[in-house]
Amino acid sequence: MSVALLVGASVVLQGSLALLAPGTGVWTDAATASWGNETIVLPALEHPVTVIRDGSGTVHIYAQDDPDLFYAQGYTQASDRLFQMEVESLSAQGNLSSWLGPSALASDEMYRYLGVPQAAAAMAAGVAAEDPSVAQDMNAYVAGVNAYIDWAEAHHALSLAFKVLGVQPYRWSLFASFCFDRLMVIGQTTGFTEPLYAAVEAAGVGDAAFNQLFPIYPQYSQNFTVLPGNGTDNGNSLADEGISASDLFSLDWFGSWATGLSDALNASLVPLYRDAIANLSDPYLADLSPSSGVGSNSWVVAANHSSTGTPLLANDPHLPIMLPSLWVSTQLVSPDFDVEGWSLAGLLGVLIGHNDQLAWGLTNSEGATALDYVETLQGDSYLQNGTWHPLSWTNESIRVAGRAPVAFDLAWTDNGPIVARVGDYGLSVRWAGTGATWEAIAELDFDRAQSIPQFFQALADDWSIPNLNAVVAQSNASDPAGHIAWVVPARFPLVAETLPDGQHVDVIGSRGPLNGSGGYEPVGTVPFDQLPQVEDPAQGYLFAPNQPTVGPEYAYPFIGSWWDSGGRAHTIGVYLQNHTTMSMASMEGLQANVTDSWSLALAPSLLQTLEALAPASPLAQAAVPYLEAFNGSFDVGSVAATIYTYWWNALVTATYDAPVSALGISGAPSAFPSAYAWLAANDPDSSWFPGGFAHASTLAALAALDLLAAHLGIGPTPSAPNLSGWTWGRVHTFVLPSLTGVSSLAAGPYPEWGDSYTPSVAPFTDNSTFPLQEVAIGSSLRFVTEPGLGPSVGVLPGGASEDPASAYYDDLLPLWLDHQYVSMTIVPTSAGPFPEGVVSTWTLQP
Amino acid sequence: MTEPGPRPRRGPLVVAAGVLVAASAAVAYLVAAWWSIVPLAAVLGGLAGIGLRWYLAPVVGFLSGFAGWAVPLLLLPAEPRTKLADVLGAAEGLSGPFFLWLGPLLIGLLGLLAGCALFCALRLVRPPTAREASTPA
Repeated sequence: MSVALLVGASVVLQGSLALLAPGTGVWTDAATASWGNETIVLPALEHPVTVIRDGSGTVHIYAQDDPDLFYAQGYTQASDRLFQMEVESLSAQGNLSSWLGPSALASDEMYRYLGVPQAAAAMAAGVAAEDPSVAQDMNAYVAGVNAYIDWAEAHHALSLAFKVLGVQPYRWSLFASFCFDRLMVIGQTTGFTEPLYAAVEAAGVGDAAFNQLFPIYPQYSQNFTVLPGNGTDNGNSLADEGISASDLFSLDWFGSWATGLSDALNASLVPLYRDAIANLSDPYLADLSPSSGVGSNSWVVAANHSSTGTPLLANDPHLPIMLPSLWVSTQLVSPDFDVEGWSLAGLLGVLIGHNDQLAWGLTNSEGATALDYVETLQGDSYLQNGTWHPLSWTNESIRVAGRAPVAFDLAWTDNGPIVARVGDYGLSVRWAGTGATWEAIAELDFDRAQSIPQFFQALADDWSIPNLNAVVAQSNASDPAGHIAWVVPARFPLVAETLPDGQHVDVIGSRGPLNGSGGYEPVGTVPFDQLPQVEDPAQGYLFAPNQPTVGPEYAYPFIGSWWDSGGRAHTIGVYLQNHTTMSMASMEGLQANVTDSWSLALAPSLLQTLEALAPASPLAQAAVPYLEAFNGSFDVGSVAATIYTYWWNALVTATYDAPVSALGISGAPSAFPSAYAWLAANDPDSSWFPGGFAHASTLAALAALDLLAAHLGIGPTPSAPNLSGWTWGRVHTFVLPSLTGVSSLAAGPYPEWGDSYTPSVAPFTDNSTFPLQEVAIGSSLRFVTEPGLGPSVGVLPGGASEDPASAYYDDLLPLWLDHQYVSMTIVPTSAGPFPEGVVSTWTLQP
Repeated sequence: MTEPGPRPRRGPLVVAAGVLVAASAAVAYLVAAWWSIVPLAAVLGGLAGIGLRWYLAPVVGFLSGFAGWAVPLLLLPAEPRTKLADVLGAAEGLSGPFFLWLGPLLIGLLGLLAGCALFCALRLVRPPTAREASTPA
């Protein structure tokens, strides 16, 4: 045996034993996994603070002033989620490689390309001047996190992930919080990559073909817009400006009149666009591709539409689901603060929740808040308005575990950072997030808001990005009927366009990248009072699950929007239309709804195909009864859902995915069944269907049935196939990966209901696998509530703790899988000591 | 016929062994340095082998190493310890209980080797007397 081998074996043994050591290794996790009753001395506090954890893991913090409140929030968040906080912020800082090594370099580069460290540093330096009170609260939060880090390091109590990865926590800071803030914003921002995908696809298949599948304003289905009506908002409409909406949306917005880039130039820039797409890709935490499956549901019903006599609100953000959960269930109480809901580990306050007057929820509104520009470059200069300007530079240095740092210089134009360069052209990204924005201030302000106008004012004052829908309801004892409202609070940059007929219009976003050399830079943002919004609509309800926010008459046309297909909106909208006495139970039931409305539109085509094939195909014959009885429900026992989905997959793979994948891009927007249903009915000989839709459908049905028969079997009698085992839950499963990447810390797979278009969503983005790609995106929380002090329920797919040894690591997952909830009802401070379900009380003592 | 010699005084050795086993566990827990158990196990095993019976060197070495690791583990709360063992064991393809006792087993094995090593070293320094050599092992 060589000496080297002996030394190697010794090192491995030492490492293994150190990891297993009872005093310092992984077992310390077991020592700190339980919550008990403790008195903890924290000299930085002014007054004692009580921290109560209830049986569902919700943390209730009672403090006598706000700095103490947020100090305690920082301390308790860190005690439950320190690794999550640190790794997510480190990712956005562009330094994940310092923990994970070179494998994280691509991720780190993306956040550097988007200017996150510079923006976070600007916010950390500027928050005190912007709002001294919030700065004080944020500094208290930071101090609370660091107090826990000090304690955990001194007591070898860092969570398991630190030990498994062999890393130490860094000190928390305002910079760390703001970096995490940017991570969340980036994942919700529309406009980074969408114009790039669109330009590559349009160059590959032609503008007309692309526009047919992805019209700017979807004409292929009824658009259940968030704003009821045709889009006239606060009295403003396109018609007032003498512009025809139908003409405007039928234009080719890839044209040089709209982008300043000719078709030929666009085609030659495809390699640049591909590079930019690749550089804006984070394999870990923020999927910026249009096919990411990220979305959300929210809806609110007015008192006259509910059985309770009060408004009711529901919200479930669809995000990548991991263990630990993204959200922290929290109640924060101080003399001027009483809010319960969902916090993000790494930020203070409550982002989604309710206080004693209001309840609110957030979803993505999909309108573009980022713009892509093609820059004309010459050496270290860029062209703008006919003259050359020197590029400015930032020096980026990424720390890499076990290696020398990786350094590069990032070039900036007036538009923003250049994320890719090919020859004399660069692609820059312009978005407010490269500078300071103050959503953290807005969040604390709307947590305190006592009325819808105050809630709106908080957003008007400080919310810039990302592009979200905010739904809100108000109710109290003196006015139980209260109010409901919705607004899209983003500061959308406006591009001044001159239409081919010479008319001028300011639009939001762009179809493809814009010419960065002048003429297409933003001319302002949409004024808050002209943003899409409504209060107390006559219909008695509002719903905002990522569908088009406004009708075509809206005065600022959304050109760069990538709306959801509207499948969830269709199901939710029809349900709310038909149910005028909504209750907490029916709100919960709607969150659990697994009807895919698009399958109802397209399944008749499949049935027609199967019936045509049936005389010659026993498999098709056996499938027909299932499709005849299909009601669009994607429950785990549905056989029709399986057949339909594999037929759809085969159809879209042959007609859309194959030509698009030949263009050398991954993550392209998914084709919508709604578009195919429209084409099948209105243009069956579209260029997307070589040989016609019926032919494509037949080939897809044969392929799907053969595939399913090969993998799932057909029983003992081939001439009379038994398809009863082809259930949806066999091919469609759900996993919760661990943030650590350790597979044994993951949960699942579980048979899962739903698909991309069902309100209880369970999307899969890769159509080519059998069984389907495991679902890892879904409702990151479910929340149904009355505003104010009324009943409130919620659930997380996981638990409160990131510690796998804790009983609160995944304790809520069975409830989440079963669409059940735990109470989120505010316990008023006047009720005295916490009434029931207390599992732990910490007294934090100065 | 050989006259019987004075009976070896084993009591103090047994007491010392007990004390050292406890010390081994305490040091492992308090100093939180796994390697501190190994020299203790070596001393215990070596002394037991020299002072009592040769075969006690590996046995006491193993047991003291095992105990030095196991006692702190057993002091952890049972439920999270079991859950953690199941989770971590699964990552390595092992059962939870086996993973739990893997550390004590490994450190016990190291104690065994160290005890034997010290026993052999002491034997080289102090070869067995004629009487000891004639005593059946």
